[in-house]
Amino acid sequence: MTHTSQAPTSGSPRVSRRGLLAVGGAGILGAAGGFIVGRESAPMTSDQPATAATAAAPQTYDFHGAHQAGISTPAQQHAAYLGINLQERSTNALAAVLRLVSDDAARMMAGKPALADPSGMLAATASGLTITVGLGHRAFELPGMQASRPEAFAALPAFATDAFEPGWGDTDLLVHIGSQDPLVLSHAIRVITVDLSTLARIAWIQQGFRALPDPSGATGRNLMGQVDGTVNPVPGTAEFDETVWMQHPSPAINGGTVLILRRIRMLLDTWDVLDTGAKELVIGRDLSTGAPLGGTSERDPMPLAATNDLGLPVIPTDAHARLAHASTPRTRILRRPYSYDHGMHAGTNDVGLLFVAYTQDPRDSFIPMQRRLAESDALNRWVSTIGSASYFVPPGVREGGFIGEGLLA
Amino acid sequence: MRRGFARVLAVVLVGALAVAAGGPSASAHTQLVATSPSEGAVLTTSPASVSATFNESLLTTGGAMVVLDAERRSVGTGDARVQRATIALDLQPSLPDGTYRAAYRVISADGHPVEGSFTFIVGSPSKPEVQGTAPANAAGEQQSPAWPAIVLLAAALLGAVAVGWWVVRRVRE
Repeated sequence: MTHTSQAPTSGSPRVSRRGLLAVGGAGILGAAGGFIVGRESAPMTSDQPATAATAAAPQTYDFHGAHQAGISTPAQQHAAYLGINLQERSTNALAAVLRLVSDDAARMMAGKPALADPSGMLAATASGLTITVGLGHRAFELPGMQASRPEAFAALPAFATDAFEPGWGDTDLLVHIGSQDPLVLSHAIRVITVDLSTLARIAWIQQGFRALPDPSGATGRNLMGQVDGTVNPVPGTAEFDETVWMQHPSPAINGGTVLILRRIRMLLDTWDVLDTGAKELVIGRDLSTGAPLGGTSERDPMPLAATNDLGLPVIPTDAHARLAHASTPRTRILRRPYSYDHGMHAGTNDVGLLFVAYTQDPRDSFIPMQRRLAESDALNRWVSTIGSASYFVPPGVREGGFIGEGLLA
Repeated sequence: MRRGFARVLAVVLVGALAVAAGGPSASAHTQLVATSPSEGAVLTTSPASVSATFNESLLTTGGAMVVLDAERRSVGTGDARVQRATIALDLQPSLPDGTYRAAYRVISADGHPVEGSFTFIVGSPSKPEVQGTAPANAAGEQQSPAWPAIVLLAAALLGAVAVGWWVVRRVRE
């Protein structure tokens, strides 16, 4: 009896000390570990209170910089995506919204309350808060905005598997908010929606969550049980830059990216009928280790040409991982997905994935990949894409500037 | 006395059920029913296609079929087709004489992968002959009959009941 009651109290401080040591060590070495890639302005010090979650990531990120935060920075535990439409369809209204959100973001990301925040105490702990702004296709249709549209921000074509339900489509703007703390996230959503209430309407808010980071560094899993994002490029590498950031002569576009957000419902009741071997054939990976079939560890290359003794492909021709495979940085995407679970409706679980991808040009990467998947992915039977929207995420700004400023000039 | 026996019997039964549910034979109910050509068939003309039929319907996804000649060259054309409980593959026309092995992998509608193979001969067998029966693959499910497992399980069950009965008697006496 005494053993069990002692375990939690003695166990948790040990975890956080180890986390703090890891942060300190990585800082000294300047290594490009996942959690120090961000532009953290206030890295953890040993006298700050720590939990396992806060020890793994800095408390605050700088709103200002070459790129917006919330893309190369480590994905927080909780995220919300706000689809926003202007009330008055003009560049003036667009500029007002961008200015307002940028100001709120700069303050709240620094752990300070937004102007006139009646509950400013909720902003004191940013818990890794990032606020990222994107412009939708509709924004570039505004008078005076057509010429500013980046060529790479191509509209997504229809795919055979699209099963869109009303209410999750393209909007003028996207605000993506992420934080380790769901309370901080909720407060930031409230601040921004209240601040925009006279200028814009919120079309939808899509919220998601992630598993706590695996101490071994393994990729997070989605609700189907599979690791999700194994082949992601690592922030700080040339491969990441080539996959994600646009290279463009215009400073209003250079360093930006395209964000694709698709709402994918998971049909878990029928998925869970499959036994593990069948699921692995559908995905093309070992479910427990994430290794490609025929490999031994998660990051092994996919043996796409391998056949077994009988001559059957080791990775089935319609396996999800095979069809999603891309071999060069520009044809890949950065996956930054979140799971969602909105309980049960009409006797069915409303669960799934917020598929969030970043690419320097969807015509090189997402569109051909999604065409392959729509045509023959074995997984299609157990998922349904019920919403889709895409955005141009402008580069970051210097202090005093606002996101998207250069596009309006 | 009677209550003691019932309790032992219940424990043994629950244990046996748990073993059966967790064991590898639990999903053995997806069975191969027939193949075309049949296993070991010697054909006078080259078949247009091969197929394997199971005792329950199959998912249209995740299926694969391949036919290899004695030199492991693939002689199929196009993709395997899954319809209800059958997976089929078209073959190249006029296959030369020799031994061929057709391999299949399917996922049954209730979620079990099954993998196996069968051989057939066009004209006269290849020399050296390819192996007649396929090794069961780790990814797939072995197409072995379930009765030895059932006999073993029944024997174990009877033994356990007998031991339990004996223990209860000893304790009571």
